[in-house]
Amino acid sequence: MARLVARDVKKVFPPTRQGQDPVFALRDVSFEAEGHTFVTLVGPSGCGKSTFLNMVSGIDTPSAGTLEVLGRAEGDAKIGYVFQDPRLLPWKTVLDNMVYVLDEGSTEEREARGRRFLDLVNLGSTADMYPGQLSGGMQQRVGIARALSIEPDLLLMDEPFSHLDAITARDLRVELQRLWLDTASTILFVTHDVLEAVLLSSRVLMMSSRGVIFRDLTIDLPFPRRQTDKEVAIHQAEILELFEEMERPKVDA
Amino acid sequence: MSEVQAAVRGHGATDDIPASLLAPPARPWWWWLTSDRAARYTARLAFLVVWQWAGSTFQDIPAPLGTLEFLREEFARGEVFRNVGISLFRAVIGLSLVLVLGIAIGIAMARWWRVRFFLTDLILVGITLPAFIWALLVVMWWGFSNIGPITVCVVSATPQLVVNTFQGATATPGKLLAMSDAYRVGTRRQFRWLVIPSMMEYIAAGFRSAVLAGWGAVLLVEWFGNDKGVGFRAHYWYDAHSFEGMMGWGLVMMVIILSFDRIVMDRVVRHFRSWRIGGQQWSR
Repeated sequence: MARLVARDVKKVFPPTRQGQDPVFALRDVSFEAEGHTFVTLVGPSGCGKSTFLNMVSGIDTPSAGTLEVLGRAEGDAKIGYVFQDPRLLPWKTVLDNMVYVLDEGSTEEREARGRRFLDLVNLGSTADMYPGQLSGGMQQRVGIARALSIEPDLLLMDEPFSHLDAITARDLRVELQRLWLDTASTILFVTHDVLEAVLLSSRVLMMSSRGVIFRDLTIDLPFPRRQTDKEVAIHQAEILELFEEMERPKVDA
Repeated sequence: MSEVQAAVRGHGATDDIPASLLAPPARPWWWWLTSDRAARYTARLAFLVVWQWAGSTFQDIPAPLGTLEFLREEFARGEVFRNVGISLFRAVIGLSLVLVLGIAIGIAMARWWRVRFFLTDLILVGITLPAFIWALLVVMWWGFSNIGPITVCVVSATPQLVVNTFQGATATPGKLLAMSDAYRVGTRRQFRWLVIPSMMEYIAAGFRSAVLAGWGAVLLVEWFGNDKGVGFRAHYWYDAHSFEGMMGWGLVMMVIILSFDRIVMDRVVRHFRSWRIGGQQWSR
């Protein structure tokens, strides 16, 4: 479990040529998340959701404001990251891809841990195969197993099911709920799919296309949830309404 | 689970599929005549027939049998092993240098833009200045020695490997590097597991063409100004107006480069491509 504190986080991409304007990806993001919670940033494409995840992971840095991630132990929090695409090394076997991100222990121990987490996503039998031999959904599950295998304090997920077909995505959402309930991770999830946000999250942060969080909602429904649950549909409609409300002045003008 | 689902998911539901779809196709006795192997052997046979015909028709063209007879005599004189050994020694030293320099310069050019712009024109000189100019220059500088052939080998083959390595280094997928950074994978492991393997295909392809260029360069220098080696021996028989001698040594050069390409480079290239499942099927 982790504690994530974002205070007045801003991100600007400076112009690269004369006459170009700077791009304000995030104008002001502040929130805290702590403990065994599933927080989702939901908003339209280009609103800065992925940029925010990249800054939390340390791939990118904020232009202003502070971002703190505290783990269970002293020192850096362990952060797992599941990307939109699986991002596996195509020339390494599935097991080697697991071992690649593991730091502690001997080779045998790291392999054993890799196998254990592959089993967790029911892909133990693919350990010696290359990623190219797996379907898109299986590759994404390897990506999830890889993220879980470091036993992260904080798990970042950037639209991990958006490239998959509807049926595979639905199955993986069910699986993700099971995995999250079994682990002690804090999850920060990013999506533009409101249904997905309601289905998975205990808390939804709604972002506008201007790069600000304009609503912070708690989804108080029991887990595991199903796409066909009525309550899920009701929450989905409510959130969509809030988005419409937020965009209305712009449409009228 | 319903019955329909059970049938779809079960593994025993192949009864209604024709047996012909489940077994490899039966082949008639003549199938190999239409195979890729038949195409290769037909070309070789046709070449030999045309060669023999041309050799027995025109006086200035050596025939295959005469050439083989000449080679047998050269073997008996001990010239083949001695000269091949000397040329191979030069090529191995030269190409080892090419391998080290080519990869190092290629990576440096991809990593630091100043190095890239500093070296671009020099690489261009290496690529565009013909090997025979280099060959004549080194003969004038160093005379009959090992330094000449090795230098020209390095100068004319390194640029090929540099260009390929550079392409490979710039093609390292940025998304995988970002993933590695997010997981705090150490620089050494990133280099060994990600950067090098992503470049290997390019390096292998570059070294393959570098070997051809380097070997040709060694032979050229030996031809123009040396007293040992395969190139020298071919020149020796050229001076003696022996068509069989020229052809015989030409054959030796060809056999050496072909064996290296087939036995070593082909396997190396295939090894580094092995993860591309089914990637070679389109060429059949």
